[in-house]
Amino acid sequence: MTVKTTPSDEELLRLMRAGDEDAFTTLYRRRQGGLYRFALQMSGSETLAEDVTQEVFMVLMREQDHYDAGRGSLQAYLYGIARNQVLRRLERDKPFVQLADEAEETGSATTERYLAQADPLGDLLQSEVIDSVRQAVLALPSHYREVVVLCDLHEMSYVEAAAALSCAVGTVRSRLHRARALLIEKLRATREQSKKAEERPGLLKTARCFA
Amino acid sequence: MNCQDFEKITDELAREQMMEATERAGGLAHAEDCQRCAARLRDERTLSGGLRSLALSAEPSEAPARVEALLLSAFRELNRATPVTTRIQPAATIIPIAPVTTTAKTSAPYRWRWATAIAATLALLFVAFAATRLQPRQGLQPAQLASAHDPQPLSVSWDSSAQGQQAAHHTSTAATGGRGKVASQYASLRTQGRERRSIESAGSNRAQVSGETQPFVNTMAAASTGDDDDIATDFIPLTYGASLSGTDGGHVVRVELPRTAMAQFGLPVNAERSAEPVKADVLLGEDGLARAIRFVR
Repeated sequence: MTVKTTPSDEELLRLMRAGDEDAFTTLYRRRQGGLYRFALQMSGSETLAEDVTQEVFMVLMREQDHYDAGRGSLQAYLYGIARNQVLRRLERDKPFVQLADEAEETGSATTERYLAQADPLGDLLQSEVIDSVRQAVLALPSHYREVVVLCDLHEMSYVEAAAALSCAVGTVRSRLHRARALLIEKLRATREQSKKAEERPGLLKTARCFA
Repeated sequence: MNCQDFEKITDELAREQMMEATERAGGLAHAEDCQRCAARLRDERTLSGGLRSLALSAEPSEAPARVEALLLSAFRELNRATPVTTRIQPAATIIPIAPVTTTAKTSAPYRWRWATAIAATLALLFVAFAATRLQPRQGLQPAQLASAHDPQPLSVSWDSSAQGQQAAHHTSTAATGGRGKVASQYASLRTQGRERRSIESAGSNRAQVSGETQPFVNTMAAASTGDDDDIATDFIPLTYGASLSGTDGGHVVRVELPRTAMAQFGLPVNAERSAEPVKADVLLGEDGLARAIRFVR
């Protein structure tokens, strides 16, 4: 009986270093989704997520010897690169992010997004919840946002997240605790704003019109 | 369990993480008794549900196919630029590396090669040094021969800057064996540079000693009569790095110097005769600069 085992990330990297294109393709297809989603959830931008995903694997190709298996898994290493790339890009594109936040504060962008994404025949509430959570996550400071994305959205353990973020496990734990508290406050505030909006018939009428 | 302890495990309870059963049971029991903590746990669970929904909604998100195409292209380009010479072999086909003991056998010839190279370098350095030392002597031979056997008159010229005049003296030395002798003080020849200024100074000194040029020429001619019995040292170069080849033209003039001048060229000086002057031949180049000197007895 022949047992076919799936090669590990480290094994694929070893083959990739030797010039094996199939190994590179396998590794890319295995990890690109998570990295893309991480960048997307960290930034809210598909363009940035695409660029970051590409850059992560470019770095892996160019600096193949930088990965140290003793310091963590290859997955954590890739997430670490992605995280650095995202933070760098967000810092560079800060003015554009601020403009988006300003638009959200006015309520128009949020309303438009709700109405554009809402399916009148579907689960409107569920969609609203998801979007409000997404906005709340994006509004977090980056060092809180990244632990929420890794631990809650990507279901990483504290140890894996700590390896990806190059910090202590206790730091991850305390940041996650604080981040979740901030999210709850943010979501509560959003809920209250929604209630107030429902009480104002003019705004609700406009929303229904868009819907 | 109190509210403070409950706060510590709220995240794990809401996220349904693995934890001790007793701790979990204690936390849930506390939430039933404490309304504030129950509300906290409810909020946390709502948040966890929202985050889970967000994660599920993003599940199908992937990087576009063009990213993979771009990366593959880059991967091929990179491997083309730096061809991989050592592909990883399966463990069963790894060829063991030859033992290091062979190094001892191969190191001996390398040692001999090094020794040979060092010896050759030393020999070359020695030859180069010897050639450098011999070059002035070889360069002077033709000059000496020319001055000794050339029937053409040997011309000696200098400037007398002390009197603001330029004096040129030509004398025929064919009858005296072709060697000009200048009976004058030439003490400044060995000073640094041995430039034309030194010669001018010598001319000035000579003018002061001889008073006029004609007696000086006569003295030189008279002194040149008995030079076949002279014993001379080798020429000592005065200008370091200057080429003294035999093809260069030049003039040899005989001067008298204080005997102590010999010491400055590293020659022994008889203390009893230190007050007496010593004869020396100074080789002047075409430009009038002193190139070498030898002491004559």
